[in-house]
Amino acid sequence: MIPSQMLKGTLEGCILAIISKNETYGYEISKQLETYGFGEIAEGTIYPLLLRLEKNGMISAVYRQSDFGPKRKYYFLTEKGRGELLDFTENYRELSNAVEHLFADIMEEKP
Amino acid sequence: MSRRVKDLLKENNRMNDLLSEEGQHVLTDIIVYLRGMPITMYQQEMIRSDVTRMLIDGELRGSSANDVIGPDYREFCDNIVKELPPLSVKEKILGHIRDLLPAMIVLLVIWTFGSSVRIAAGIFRTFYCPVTAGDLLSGLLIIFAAERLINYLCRHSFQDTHSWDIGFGVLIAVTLVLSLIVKMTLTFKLFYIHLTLAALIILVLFLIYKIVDKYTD
Repeated sequence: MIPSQMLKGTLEGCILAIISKNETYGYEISKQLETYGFGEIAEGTIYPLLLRLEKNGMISAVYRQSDFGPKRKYYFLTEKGRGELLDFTENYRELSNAVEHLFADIMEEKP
Repeated sequence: MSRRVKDLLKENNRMNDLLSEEGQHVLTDIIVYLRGMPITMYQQEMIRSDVTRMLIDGELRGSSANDVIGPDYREFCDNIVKELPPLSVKEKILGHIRDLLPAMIVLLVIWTFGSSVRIAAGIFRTFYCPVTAGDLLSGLLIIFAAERLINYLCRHSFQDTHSWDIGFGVLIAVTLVLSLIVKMTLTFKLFYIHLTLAALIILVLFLIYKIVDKYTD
């Protein structure tokens, strides 16, 4: 299980990536994260991040009728969100390369 | 409250009935906790709307509130509030006025009723009734105790009643007893007020409350 401290800082970007695929809702986002190997992340953990993304204009929400129960809140990416996702992707690749480089060096140094 | 808050409240109350007893219980605790947070009524009801939908969806899938929200409801609420824009100075002031006015109106009504009884009993000879230092100070103490109690109940909404702070209970009880003592002992008359004027003041405060409430989301 990925520690929560490690997830902080990347989860928002990953949520943007999931929303970029299709308009979606909170539970579906948490299920998709689980499918990609992020472990079980409760919808209650996702919701405050969705609020933050919405407040910052990265995503917007619409209500759509669900098969059962009341209308469901679906989120979609805005133009600003697309830009933010691009930035996140670049920054994450840079970080990932740096970490891989470091680990490769450490492995080489070990007898 | 504004039209948009009233509509949202109505819709949320309707959705509430779709939840199980357990879900309603959890949602009530969350709402009570949020009522004590520095956010507007509109924000509270928007969050309530979102959380209710999450819980209803969860129950339809066979998930409990714990599965949907996570184990720590307080942390969940705190994380939500952190993401909301802070209240402006104007919103804070209007919110305090809106919350304070009903208490002032009730105390004034009680004072007016008490004075009317004294007039009827012949204790006061005219409709000009005295306002003593005890009246004002005990009123302040009662408002203080009520505000602290509401704040405590909201902040501890997720706590089992058995684990409530006894010390805090004692503090509230002492404050209320003190307000009674102060009312009975501080009989120095500060000014006199005609009962009709008192009734008028009650009406004006009520109107101010309705106006502030309408424009405070």
